[in-house]
Amino acid sequence: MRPNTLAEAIERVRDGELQDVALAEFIDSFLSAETATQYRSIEQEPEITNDARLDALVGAIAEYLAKQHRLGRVPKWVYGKRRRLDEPWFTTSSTEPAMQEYLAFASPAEFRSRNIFTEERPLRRARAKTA
Amino acid sequence: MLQAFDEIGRAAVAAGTRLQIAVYGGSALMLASNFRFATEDVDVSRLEKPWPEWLRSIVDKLAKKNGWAEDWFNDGVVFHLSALADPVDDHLEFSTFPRGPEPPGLMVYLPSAAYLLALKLKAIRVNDPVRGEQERLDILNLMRVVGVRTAEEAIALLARYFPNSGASAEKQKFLLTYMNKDGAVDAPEYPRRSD
Repeated sequence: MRPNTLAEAIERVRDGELQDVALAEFIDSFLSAETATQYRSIEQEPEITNDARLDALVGAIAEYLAKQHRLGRVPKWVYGKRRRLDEPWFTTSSTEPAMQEYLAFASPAEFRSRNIFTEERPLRRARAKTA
Repeated sequence: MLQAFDEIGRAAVAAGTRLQIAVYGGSALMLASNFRFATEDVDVSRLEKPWPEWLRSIVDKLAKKNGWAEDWFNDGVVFHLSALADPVDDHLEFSTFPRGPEPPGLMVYLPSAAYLLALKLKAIRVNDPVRGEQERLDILNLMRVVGVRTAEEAIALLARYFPNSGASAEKQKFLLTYMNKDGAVDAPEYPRRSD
């Protein structure tokens, strides 16, 4: 089964599941859930890991999803100190300065404010919401 | 996934019918490529609504049996498909199910490498913080399979299936030009030659 909460997704990562799979499956769960359930899925703070980028990324994911889907509130834990990187992280394996400039410009505020520089519409999934 | 398809095929036969589907995205690559081994759910072509009872029943049963999400078998991807993709020329028959001597109840088709590449170029999620690296590698491998070497050639392919996206493909051109080109497998195949 997919993780129903972001905290559960991180628990799976801590247990050895691939990070991109666990997070992508959580996002699928979030997108297919009703609005009331969506907030509950990000309400509980995930455990801090030994990966500073992952800890910051889950803060960005929770804040971004809450705002994109107009849930009306953002869980307070996303603003914690561990949810922000000290050094910039560009979510690309390219070392081209042009790519980094693009990401610095394009990154949504919820990511940029945490020193994460990513594409302008992150977390897109192929599936449309189905009835 | 193959065993699940076997069971769907058997259920179709038991219901006295036959189902034809095309499988897209990571599922297609996992089924038929030599460079993608993990996937999520099964994204398929449009299914009649409401689903026939036999299909709903077997899909639910497989979800429970395998601990999969309720919508593991889903046609939500239809929204992203190309109206210009030809059902014959841009798809290939993968297999019938159940495999073996039993009568077939499910025919599975896959998009051609060119069409699958165009779908990935349209979305161009190569910098996504969650799945970007996988998307980048899928694009690099499919470009090799299709024989597309430059951003311009890739955009021409995109325009063949999605003329509007191809006509304003500045983002694709930029990302294809500056993304990391390393990491493709030595001899990517889709479909695998043994299939």
